[in-house]
Amino acid sequence: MSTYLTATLSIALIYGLMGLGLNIQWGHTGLLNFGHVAFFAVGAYTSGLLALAGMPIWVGAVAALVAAAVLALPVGWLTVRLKEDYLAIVTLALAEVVRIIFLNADWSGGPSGLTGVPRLFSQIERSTRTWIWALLLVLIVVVAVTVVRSVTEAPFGRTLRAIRGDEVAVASLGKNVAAYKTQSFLLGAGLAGLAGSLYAHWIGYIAPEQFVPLVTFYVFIGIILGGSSHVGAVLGTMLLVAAFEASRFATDLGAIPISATAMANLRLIVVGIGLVLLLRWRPEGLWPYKYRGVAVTPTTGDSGDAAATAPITEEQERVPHGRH
Amino acid sequence: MDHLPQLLANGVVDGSLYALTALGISLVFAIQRFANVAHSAFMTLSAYAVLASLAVGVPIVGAVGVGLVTGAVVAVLSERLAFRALERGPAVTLVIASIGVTLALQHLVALIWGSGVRNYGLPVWVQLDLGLFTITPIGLGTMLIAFVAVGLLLVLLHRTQLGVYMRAVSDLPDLARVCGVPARRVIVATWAVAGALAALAGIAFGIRTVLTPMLGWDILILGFAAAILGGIGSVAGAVIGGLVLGVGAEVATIWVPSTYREVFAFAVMLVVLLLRPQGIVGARTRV
Repeated sequence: MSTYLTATLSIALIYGLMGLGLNIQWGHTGLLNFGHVAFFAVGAYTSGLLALAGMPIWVGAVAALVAAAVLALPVGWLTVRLKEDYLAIVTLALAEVVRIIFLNADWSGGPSGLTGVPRLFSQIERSTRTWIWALLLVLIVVVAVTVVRSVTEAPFGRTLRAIRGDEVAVASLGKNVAAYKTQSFLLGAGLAGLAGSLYAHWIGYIAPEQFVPLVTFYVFIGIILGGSSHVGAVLGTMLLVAAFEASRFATDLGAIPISATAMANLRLIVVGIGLVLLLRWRPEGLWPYKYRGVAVTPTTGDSGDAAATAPITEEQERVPHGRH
Repeated sequence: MDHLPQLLANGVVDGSLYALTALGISLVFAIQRFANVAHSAFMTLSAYAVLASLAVGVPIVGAVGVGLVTGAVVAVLSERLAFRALERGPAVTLVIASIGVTLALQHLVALIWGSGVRNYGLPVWVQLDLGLFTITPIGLGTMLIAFVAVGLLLVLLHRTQLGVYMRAVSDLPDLARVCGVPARRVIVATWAVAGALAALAGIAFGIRTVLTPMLGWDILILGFAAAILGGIGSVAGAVIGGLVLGVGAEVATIWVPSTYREVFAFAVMLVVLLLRPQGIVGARTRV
């Protein structure tokens, strides 16, 4: 039982890491990336292939991060030119292209994928191993959240959120919107790549069927549920994974009297309806982002100090978003 | 190159179906300004509605009618229940909501009919030999249906009051409202027409290949690629985009395996978006 819980926690944390990456792109910059799973897949395959070739696992993890970011670079350039929903379609297509290549290429093992990817701590007994994995992942996620937070609390992050609000205004202030968007995209993709690497060495087996577009949508729904604070995005994604596992577990135990397949479908019907309701009634999610850095105080004018020094919340930062 | 005419013929048949898919996507985009992913689920659900009708003994023409009505009704309900409340927000919220609608409808289909492969069980026809190439009567039929649908849509848009209203709302929604165009009714009618087009495309794919809960989803990217290639928001654009993509993907199989069809569509989409974002035909909307 405790092995089951730690295993669920581990997979939830890996998804949480993906959520953290997507949140930089969507939550903070407004880039609608429907192909997040592509970067996860590239990370997993890069790391898996390198490990099978005898490289140490940490080399694979770094390479996974880099490979995902390299794939993201041309997409990042595209984002400069595309309106949000075109970006969504292009990234969705990119994810399918990546999956089709892994499915049909020889070096990626085709439909059967890569088996026997070295698993980290494989010499340790199973129940202890899942504990170590869970702790390691908690550590990685905490470090990642800290790094990402320091980035988004910096002027860099403020600029990203301003771009999300009104990119023309930001450009007119002399900011290079294109460069900011690309960097945001790279950062998010790199985290997905790292998550892919961890996934490969955690599960020990990767195949194209694990990298369907649905993965992206799970993460998307998770971060919308959680809200755009970094911890919120991670927790929201983890919450969704946990809810999925719980419903699977309940069905397996026979607590819910329907077949596992029917449950899988029912779950996604509920998730789909839930997403629409969430967007309607609580678009900011459970843990919305609040700016924690030092607020900018006007240097002139005698307006009330209290108002001027109050933390800038996301709502205040955002300019009403008209249709283009 | 002996088989080039055959590839062209196959490409035109496929392309006419991509065009049909692109038309519905383009129509919603023209009025509501967002990329409606749920179009794929409208296709799938309608195709299965035909399957259900055939199973209870409805003749094929009646079953297709049921499918068309299902598509229209589901599209209108989606607009009413999911999209309407969000339409004043950013377009991206609508795109994400359309993912929610897609997940719900697609898995509703899987829940009711299972995720296995189904087919309509229609009689198998002999290939018609037209000299240069052969074509199945089904291929010929779906192609004709696609072109009739395009013709009807053009008549609707350019020869009826509703069509004038639709084009007005598409061009300048606020001005149209001020001029007394019943914008809400126009929007609902647009969804109904788009839903029926989705149904037509979904049923045609169901007849031509097989039914799975992924039927619409598997076509979606090709449909979007066709709409973008031709110029989103334009009827002629959707048709040209669909045909170019269909023929291009077929001819490309001379050099690359047909499993890479989506890769081809993706490449086309990228090139178009980078070099000519308004598409082959139009310059109506900014990318």
